Amino acid sequence: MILVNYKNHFISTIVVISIFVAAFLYFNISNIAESRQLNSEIRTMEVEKGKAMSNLGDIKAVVNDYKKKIAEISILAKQYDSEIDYINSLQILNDLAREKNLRVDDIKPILENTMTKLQAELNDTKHNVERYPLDVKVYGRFLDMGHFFDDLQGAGFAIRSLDINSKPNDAKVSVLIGLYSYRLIKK
Amino acid sequence: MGKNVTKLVFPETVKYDENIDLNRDEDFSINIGLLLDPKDHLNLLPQEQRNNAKFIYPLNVTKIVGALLITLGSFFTFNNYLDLQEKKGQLLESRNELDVISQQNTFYYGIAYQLAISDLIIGTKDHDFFASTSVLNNLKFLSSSLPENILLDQCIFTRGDDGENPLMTIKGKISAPGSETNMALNSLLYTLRDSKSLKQVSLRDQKTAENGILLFTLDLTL
Repeated sequence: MILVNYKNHFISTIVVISIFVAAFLYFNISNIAESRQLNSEIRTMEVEKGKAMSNLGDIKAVVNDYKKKIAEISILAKQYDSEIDYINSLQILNDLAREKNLRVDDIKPILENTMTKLQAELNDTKHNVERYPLDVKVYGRFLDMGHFFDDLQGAGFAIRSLDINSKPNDAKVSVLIGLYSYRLIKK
Repeated sequence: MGKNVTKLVFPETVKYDENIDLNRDEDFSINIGLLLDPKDHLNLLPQEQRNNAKFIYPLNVTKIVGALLITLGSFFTFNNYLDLQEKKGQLLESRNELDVISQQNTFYYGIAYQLAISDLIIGTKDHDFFASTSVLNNLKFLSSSLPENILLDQCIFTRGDDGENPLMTIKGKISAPGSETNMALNSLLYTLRDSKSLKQVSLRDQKTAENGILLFTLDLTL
């Protein structure tokens, strides 16, 4: 009679140890594989972070600049809420010409906004800026014409084109002035 | 048989260890056999028990080795597990940082894009006025530098829709005796070419009328 079967104990101990060793091998190999994959992902992530950081500019400075520009846009021109108001404002051309003894023969406003269409993508502005071409025909002395041009600039018109014609034996000139006028419209 | 026989000497008294509980049915027969017959020649134990006894030593060694393996394996596995968890945490942290930087980048480029549009709007007006001022200054320069014998018939200023290629074309006439017309025209060209605000001055056309008046066309690139 065998009270303790050492052979069976030995075999079962070997089996248990083998199971443990197999389990350890399995967990460690999978851990090492996962760890290598994680290392690779961390490296990639660090590279991506470096790239993203190098592309990142000074946010505070850009935001401050942007706020200034947005405020500047709102004072870029006079605000006319209706087209009638805008057309009426062109009366200043007659007034300026009269001050310089010039005769305005024709004013042709073209209500076609030539400002960039990208303006629609500005979200934070309170106004839209519109730029209209405008043709004015004026007759008078060349010297007075020069002063008139200066006054036009002072009144917020930019000279787009000029066609100055003089006639023989005539001290006066006929000028076709192409202008740009600017208008703010509340959003 | 040629072997020396010596008398087996037993101790006078045999004292049993009082700590051993003889009622536990422990099997000490093996020990007696080992004591009396180390080489197992006279072992009277059954073969089955003797075979069983052979596994005692390997079993103990296996237990020790197994315990060591399990201890070391546990230690190694635990370390690997901690290392893995640390790397997972590190990766998660990196991902979060990258997400934050990406969001900042998106915000930055959004604002920068809107800033560029604002600059474009403001710049458009500034450029219009720059060109306007430039043409007025050139017109003033032209009128002040023209001698009395040169009369302007026409002055046309144009530029492209995008504000590029500003060009001033002047048509005029020179009334001077004889060859002085050409000299006056050349003098005008030199004067204009000396001007820093004119990029290019070119004589497009010139012809002498029957009355000796020289008609000319000049292109001035601003």
